[in-house]
Amino acid sequence: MSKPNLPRKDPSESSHARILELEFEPLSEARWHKIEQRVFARLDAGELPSTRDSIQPAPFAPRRVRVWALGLLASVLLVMLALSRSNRGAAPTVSRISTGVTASHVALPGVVLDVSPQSAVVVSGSAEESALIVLDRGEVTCEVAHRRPGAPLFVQAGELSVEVVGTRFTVTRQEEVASVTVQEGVVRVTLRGRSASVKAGETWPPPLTAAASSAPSVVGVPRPSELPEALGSAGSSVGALRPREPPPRPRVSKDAKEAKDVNSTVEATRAGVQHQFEMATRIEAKEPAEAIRLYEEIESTSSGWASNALFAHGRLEAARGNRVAARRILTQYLKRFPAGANAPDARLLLSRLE
Amino acid sequence: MANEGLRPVPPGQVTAPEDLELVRRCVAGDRQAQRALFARERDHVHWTLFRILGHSQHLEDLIQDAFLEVFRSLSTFRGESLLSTWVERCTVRVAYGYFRRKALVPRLEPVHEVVSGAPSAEQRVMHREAARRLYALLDRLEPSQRIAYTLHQLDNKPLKEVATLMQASLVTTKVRVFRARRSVEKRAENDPLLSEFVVGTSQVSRKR
Repeated sequence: MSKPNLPRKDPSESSHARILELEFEPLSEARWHKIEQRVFARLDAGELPSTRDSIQPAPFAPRRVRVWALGLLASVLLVMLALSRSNRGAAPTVSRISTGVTASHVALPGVVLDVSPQSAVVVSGSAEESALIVLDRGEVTCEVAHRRPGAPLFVQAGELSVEVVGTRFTVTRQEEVASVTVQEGVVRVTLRGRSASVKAGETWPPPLTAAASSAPSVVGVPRPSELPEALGSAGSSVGALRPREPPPRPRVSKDAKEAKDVNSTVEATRAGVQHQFEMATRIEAKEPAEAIRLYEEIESTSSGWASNALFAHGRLEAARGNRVAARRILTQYLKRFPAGANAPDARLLLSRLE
Repeated sequence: MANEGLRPVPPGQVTAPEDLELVRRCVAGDRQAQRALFARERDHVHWTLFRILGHSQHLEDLIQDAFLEVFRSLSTFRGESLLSTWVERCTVRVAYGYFRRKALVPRLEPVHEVVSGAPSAEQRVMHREAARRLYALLDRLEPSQRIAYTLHQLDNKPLKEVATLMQASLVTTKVRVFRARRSVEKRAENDPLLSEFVVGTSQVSRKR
């Protein structure tokens, strides 16, 4: 039992040390031999200590110094930001416009708004900087003076975002369903990361009659657990719409520019139909009649979403207790899409509705 | 290993000439010299790590790491301190790196085979249990505080020496020891066994 020959004070000087009148547990010679071998083997292999990464950069740099340095840096950045803002003109303002039974015409710097009855809009920002108009409900028509580069105007309606450079357009929002109609110029519509350009005279989402051969790659669906108990305990496994194979891409012309336009239109259409489908599933519980109307619209198209909409429609009718209608629609689904992704579920559901 | 990295020793160097020679040979890759250094310093390294970590399953790995660190860094040794102090400094750095790497979630490790010098078996058991609880508390401290505390409070090193080993200022070291001690004492207050050893010792330590 040997301690290294170190200059140490009498342990009795400290009560703390008293606890540690722990006898040093020396290693046996055999263990030392092993350790020594291992050290030199690692040394020969050019290995670095495993702790080296964490001890290299000033291991004992006081944390307080680092915190102060970070705080100082943050303060400098804030001051710089404040200075740059003060040099760029007036601070952004926020206005809320809410209409009752009559419409409202509001002229703000750089933008004129026609707010329809029963609508609510919040405007923030300024003409010199980027501005944001949030459509809370209802409808707003915006006439936007040409914006300088780097100071766009955005209109947000739920998940839908419209970026404007200088144009006149109308945004309508009903619950979570939003649409854009452009009168002049071009706007860029963004929904969940997908963007599409909408020109004068166009509407977004595009009319469903404009056939879109695209189908969804991933389907947002209502929960099967919403099915009534009357459908049986196994109903929870019925009704889940399954992801479908991605559809073939539409043919494009040889001309690259034209091809880009076609793709853009198809993308916009696809996004619009998907948006409509997802809205329908979302409002099923609160407004089933409206959801059914939306499903019926989608069903009547040749869109890839038609099969999903038809099945969802049948499932919703079943959930509402309309067994006759549910049977009719599900039968129609199986007739139209016998190998559809939801065909097995449709058959199971039908058997329970018998 | 090339020896050109060994810098000239300044006139005020405190390292013994034979140590400088040993270092020079180690840096040159002389395996016999390296083994000699290993044999000379191994208990010292072990002791330092033992005090800081208690009985840890990683102790032997860290001994290896400490010597790797010593041999890898030896070319930067300038003879301004005792070789043993320099080795200890490397060891403390390795321990610090271990705590940082071990992450922020404290993990309790049993302290095995800790035998007290107290005569009776009962006291030995008591000391062993107190030590186990103390190291469990130390696991909750920041690495820098823990190392400062163990070196000063448990190993009785003067604050100045601890500061040198940790490459920190004396004031910083004092603060670390103070905070660690306060934290340990606070937590030990509700532990009758531990409080007997660690509570109310501030006066003693402040004198040093």
